[in-house]
Amino acid sequence: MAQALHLPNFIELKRLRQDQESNRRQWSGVKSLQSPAWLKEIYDRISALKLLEENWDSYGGLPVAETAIKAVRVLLSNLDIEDLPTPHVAPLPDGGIGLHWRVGARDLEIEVEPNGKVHYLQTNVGEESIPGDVHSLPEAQNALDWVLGK
Amino acid sequence: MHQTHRDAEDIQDDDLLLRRITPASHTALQPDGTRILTGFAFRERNDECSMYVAKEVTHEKVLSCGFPTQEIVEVRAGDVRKLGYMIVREPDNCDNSHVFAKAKAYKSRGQIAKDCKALAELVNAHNARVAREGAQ
Repeated sequence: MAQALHLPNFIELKRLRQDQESNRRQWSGVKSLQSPAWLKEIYDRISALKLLEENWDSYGGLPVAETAIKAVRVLLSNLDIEDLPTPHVAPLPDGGIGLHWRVGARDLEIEVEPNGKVHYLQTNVGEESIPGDVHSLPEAQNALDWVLGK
Repeated sequence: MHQTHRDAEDIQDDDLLLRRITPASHTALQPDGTRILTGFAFRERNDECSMYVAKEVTHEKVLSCGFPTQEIVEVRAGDVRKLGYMIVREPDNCDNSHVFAKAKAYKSRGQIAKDCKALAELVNAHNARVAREGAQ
């Protein structure tokens, strides 16, 4: 027997539209679930930086600060990074963390200070680098988009 | 107390300076399988980059003062000077050939990052040239 289609009446349609609008509002600020495959591996690498002891670089480098680790996690979990290749993660001698991408001739170094402040260095290989400070997530997103030529 | 630093005049611009790096932290693997040096390789906690004068010490000696996984990169003294640094002699526990690069004038964090990147790119360009010549 054929199943009857349920056609919503106008009141139901109105409620449906309200629900959809409410859903849009509720979910619009949430990051896509399509995280890049490398994200888990990078989180693990960042966590492993905690194990570094003072003088890890043989030049007196400081252990990586917990605040820097948290800041990098916040950064990566709030930005659109799906199209980016796996970054290179590096401890910095002042207790910060560096992230590096190179896509073609575009090279980006992101530096997170031990206090969580973020800076970037954009380099077109063969040309002079351009340093900058990141004060907000959109600024960080712009820096990442630049490396992809967006 | 204010300390006066002096550029070592006996170190010529063509002299090579040796810097220990930690490949896992300071080099990035590229899609073609090569490794490139990042600017992080020249960063140091006090913003004074430690190196050794190549004509006065062996790679082995410099490596012996670091960790087993470390490697050496070479930069020209003249390239460091061109970026606005003095090469200051400061013998250390490892060897008397130890020097450090000291900015002649104040440099911001961004400027230092830029200079370190410039040095890393010089090393990358040199390595790429050597690899090309080796392949011919």
